[in-house]
Amino acid sequence: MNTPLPVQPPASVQIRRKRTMRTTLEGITYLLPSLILFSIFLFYPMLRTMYLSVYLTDYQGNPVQFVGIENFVYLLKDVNFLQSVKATLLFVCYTVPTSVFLALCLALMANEKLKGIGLFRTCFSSTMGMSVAASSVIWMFMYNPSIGVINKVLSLFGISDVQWLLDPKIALVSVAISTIWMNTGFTFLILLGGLQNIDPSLYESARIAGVSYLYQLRKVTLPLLSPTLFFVTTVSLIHSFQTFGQIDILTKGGPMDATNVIVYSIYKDAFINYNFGSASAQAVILFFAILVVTFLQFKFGERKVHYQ
Amino acid sequence: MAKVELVHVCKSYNGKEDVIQDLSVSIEPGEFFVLVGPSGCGKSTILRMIAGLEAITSGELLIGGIKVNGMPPSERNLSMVFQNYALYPHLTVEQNITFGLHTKKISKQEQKKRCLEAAEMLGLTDFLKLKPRQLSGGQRQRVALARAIVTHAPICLMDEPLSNLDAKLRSKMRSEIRQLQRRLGITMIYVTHDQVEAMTMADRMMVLNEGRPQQIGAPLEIYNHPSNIFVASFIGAPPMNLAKAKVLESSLLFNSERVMRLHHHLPSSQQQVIVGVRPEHIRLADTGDEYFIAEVVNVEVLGTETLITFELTKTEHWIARWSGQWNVHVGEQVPLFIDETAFIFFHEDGQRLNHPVSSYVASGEERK
Amino acid sequence: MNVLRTFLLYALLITCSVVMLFPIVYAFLISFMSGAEVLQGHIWPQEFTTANYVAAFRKVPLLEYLLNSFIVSFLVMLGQLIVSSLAAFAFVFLNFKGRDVLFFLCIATMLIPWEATMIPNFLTVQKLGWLNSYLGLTVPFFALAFGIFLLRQHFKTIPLELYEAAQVSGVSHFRFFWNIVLPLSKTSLITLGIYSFLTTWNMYLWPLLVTNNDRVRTVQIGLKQMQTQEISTEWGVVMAAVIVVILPTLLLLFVGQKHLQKGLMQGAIK
Ligand SMILES: Nc1ncnc2c1ncn2[C@@H]1O[C@H](COP(=O)(O)OP(=O)(O)OP(=O)(O)O)[C@@H](O)[C@H]1O
Ligand SMILES: [Mg+2]
Repeated sequence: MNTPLPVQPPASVQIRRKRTMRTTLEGITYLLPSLILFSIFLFYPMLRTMYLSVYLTDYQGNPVQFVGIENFVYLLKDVNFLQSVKATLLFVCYTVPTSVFLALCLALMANEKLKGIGLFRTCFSSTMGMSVAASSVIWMFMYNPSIGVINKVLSLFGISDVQWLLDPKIALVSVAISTIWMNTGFTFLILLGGLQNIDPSLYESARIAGVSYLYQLRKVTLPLLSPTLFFVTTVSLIHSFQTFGQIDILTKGGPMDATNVIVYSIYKDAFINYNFGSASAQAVILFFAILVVTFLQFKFGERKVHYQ
Repeated sequence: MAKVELVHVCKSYNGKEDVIQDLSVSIEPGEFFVLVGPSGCGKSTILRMIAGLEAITSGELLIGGIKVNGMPPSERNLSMVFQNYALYPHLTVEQNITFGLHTKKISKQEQKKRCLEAAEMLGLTDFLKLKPRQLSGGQRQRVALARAIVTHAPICLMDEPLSNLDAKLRSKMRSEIRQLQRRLGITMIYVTHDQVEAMTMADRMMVLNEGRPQQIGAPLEIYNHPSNIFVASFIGAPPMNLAKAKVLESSLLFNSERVMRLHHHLPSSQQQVIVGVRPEHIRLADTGDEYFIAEVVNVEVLGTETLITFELTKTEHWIARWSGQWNVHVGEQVPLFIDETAFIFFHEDGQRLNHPVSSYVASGEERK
Repeated sequence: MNVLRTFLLYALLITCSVVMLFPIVYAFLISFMSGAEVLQGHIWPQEFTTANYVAAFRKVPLLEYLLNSFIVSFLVMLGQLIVSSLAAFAFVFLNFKGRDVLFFLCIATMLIPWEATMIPNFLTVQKLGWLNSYLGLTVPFFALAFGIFLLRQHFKTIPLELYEAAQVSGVSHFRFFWNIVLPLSKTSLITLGIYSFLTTWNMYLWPLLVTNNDRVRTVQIGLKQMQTQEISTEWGVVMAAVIVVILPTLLLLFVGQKHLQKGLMQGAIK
C-alpha cells in the first residue's frame, strides 16, 4: 500500500497548493484568538464610536436619529467642551515635559556606578507599582487644606490655607504635580534602561579625551539616548491624553470644570448624562488628537533621533 | 619623557582576591610593548589602570617619572584605542577624530589640520563626512587609530584592536600600526591574546597568566628561552612539545616506554623533569643520526610545511614541523631525530631549569 | 575632587529618594495613627496602632476586593500570555500569506486609545450580560498588541535552525511551540506576566464602569468607595487600605524590576 507513487508535476503543484492552504489555515488558527478579540473589543467599537458620533442616541446607547456632523459642531461651540480641551492641553503641557525631564535627571544619577545604587533605582521606580487610585488617595490627603502635610509645611513659611484642589486656578496644577509623581517611576525605568544600553567604552573614551560632564551629556549621552527619549515622550504624551483616575478621585473634574479633561468629560457625558452621541463625538476627537500628536511626534521628533 | 613604570602594582575588584598580583615593569619611551596572555588573565585590567579607567589597589604607577595613581585619565596625556573602537555612532568620522580636542586648547584650524593629516596618513580622506556605520571594519579601525593620533599624546594604549577583523586585514593592520608607531615615535602599550601578533609587533613583550607576569623580554628571547612551561606552551604555534621524563644518568625515560640518550650528564639532583622541544627541532633522521622510531597518528599538509603528529608514548603525542610538503601516511613508522641541544628542561613545578643552558647556548653556536 | 563628586551625588540621590518615597512613607505612617492624631496633622505617630488595619478589613469587604483583584489580574495575565504567545508564534515561525498585513493590523491597534472605544465596549459587555462578572472584567483585555510585539521580538532571537530541525524530525508546530519556544522564552513571558498583572491590578476606569456591587468589585474601586464615604473622618483607615492595596504590586515590582526594565526596553526600542 505504501509504495511511493511516481510524482507527477500536476500532482506536486496541487500538493503545494494544498500545503500553502494548510499553513495559512494553521497560521490563522494561531492568530484567531487575537483577531477575534481585537475585532470585538477594538475594531468594532472604534467603528461603532465613529458611527455613534453622527447620531443622536437614547439612554441605552441605540442610535435614534442621524445628525451628521452636528454633534461635532455642537461640541465646538460648547464652552464646556472647549474648556475641557484647554484643560487637557494644559495638563499635557504641565506633565509630559516635566516628568520626562525629572525622570531623565533621576536616571542620569542612578546610572552612576556607586555602592548601593540598586537601592536608589528601586526607590525611583517604586511609583510604577502604585495604582492611580492609591496614589490619588494619598495625594488627596496630602493636599488636604487643614490636616495635609503640604499646607503644614507651607505654614512654617507663613503661607497658609492654600486650597489645592478647590481653587480653580491651581487645581489643575495640583493634579499635574501628583501625576508627574505617578509617572516618574515608569519613565525613569525606561530611561535608565536606555542609558544602560549605551556602550560604556564610549564614556571611557570621552574620559580619556577629558571632556567636561556637560559636554559629554550634550554630545554623547543625549544623542545616544534619543531613541529612548523619543519613545518615552511619545508614550507619555499618549498616556497623558488618557488621564482619568486621578481626576475622578481628586477633583471630579471640578472646580468649575478646571480639571475636566477630555476622558473625564467623555465619561461624564456617556455614563452620567447618558449622552452617548456627544460622548462618542468627543471620543472620536480624542482618537484623532492622539493620532495627530503621534504623527507629529514621528514627523518632527524623529528627525532629531540618532538610530544606531 | 614618556616612560611608563609599574611598581608592585596589585589590583582587586572585589577586595578579596587579586586580579593582578605584584606587577613590576618599566616600559621605555618609544617602545612597542605588548601584553599577551590567555583570556581573562588581566591584560585589559592593566591597560585600564595605566589609562586611569580603573583605580590601582596598591603599588605605584609612574608616567614620565611622576606618580599618577590618582590622576584622572585626561591629564595623563595618553590616547587609547578600544577593542570595539568606541566610535560615536551619531558623529561623522571627522567629528569622531576631533572629539575632545577642544579641551586641549587646540584651535579650530589646528584641529582641522591635524584631522586631515591623520586622515591622510590612514587613507580616510574620502570618508570624513560619513558616519561610522557606513564604514567597513578596517576603516572603523583606522578611524579609531586616527583619533588616537590627533591628540599627539606620547603614549598610546591599545586593547585588542584587531580582534574584530578578519585574518587578512589583521595582518595588514599589524604592519600599519607598527609603521605608524615607528614614524610617530610614540610609546605603545598593546594588548592582545594572539601570540602571533605579539611576536610580530613587539619590541618587548610581557606574557601574563592569571594576573601574574610570567616573562618579560624580546619576542625571540621569549620564544627561545621560555622561563616556564606556561610561556613555552603559550608562545609558538603549534606549541612546544612537552612531556614528563625520568632522568637516568644521561638518558630520558618517558613514561617507562621510550628512552632517549643524551651525550650530556643531566644534573643528578633532578629525578623527574619536564622536557620541551619545539616542533621544528624534530626532523626526519638522516643516516648516521641516532634516531628513534615513532608511529604517525596525524598528518596536516599546509603547503609550505607539514605537521606530523606522532606517538611519543602511548598517551602522549608530539608534533613535528617539517618544511615543505611530505607524503607521510597515518600509521607509518618513521625514524625521527632531535638535536639534543634543542631540548629545554623544566622543573616538575614548571620553572625552567637553568643548569644546562650555558653549555647548550655554546654548542648551539658551534653548530652554525 | 572625586570624593566631593561622590559625596554630592549621594546627597542628591538621597534627597531625591526622600522626595519620591515621601508620599508612600507618609501614607504608611498615617495608617498607624489614631484618628485624633491624624486630625492634628502629625507626621510621626506617637504610638503605632494597628486598629486602622483591623477597621479597614471590618468596615469594607477589603478581603473580598483583594481576592477579586487577584482573580482578575491573574486571569488577564494568563489570557494575555496565551493569546499573545500564540499570535507571536504565528508571526515568527509560520510563513503564510497575509502574515505581514495581519501583523501591521496588530501594531496599528496600539494607536487606538482604549478610552475611545469604551462606550461601545460597555454596551457590548452589557448586552452579553457580563456586567458585574469576571468575564466582563477580563476578556476584553486578553489581546494586547504590546504583548504580541514584545514576545515576537523575543521569539525572533530563537535560532531558525531549531525550527528547521523540528520540521525535519516531524515535530508538529504546536509541540514545537509548547516544548521549545515557550521554555526558551521564559524571561519575556515573565516580563509580560509582571506587566499584565501590574497594569490589571491598577486598572481603574473599566472596573469602575462594569462593576456596581461588592461581589466582583476590585480593590481600586474599593479605595474610591472608601475615600468618598469616609472622607475627612477616618483617614487612618483609608491609608491602611491604601497600604494593603499597594503592597502586592510594590513587592512584584521590586522582585521583577530587572526583568521589567529589560523586557520593556526590548519591546520599545528594537
Ligand atoms: N569590572 C570588573 N569587576 C570585577 N571583575 C572584573 C572586572 N573586570 C574584569 N574582571 C575580572 O578580572 C580578570 C581579568 O579581566 P581582564 O578583562 O583584564 O582580562 P583580559 O586579559 O583582558 O581578558 P580578554 O582577553 O578576555 O579581554 C577576569 O577574571 C575578570 O573576571
Ligand atoms: Mg580584555
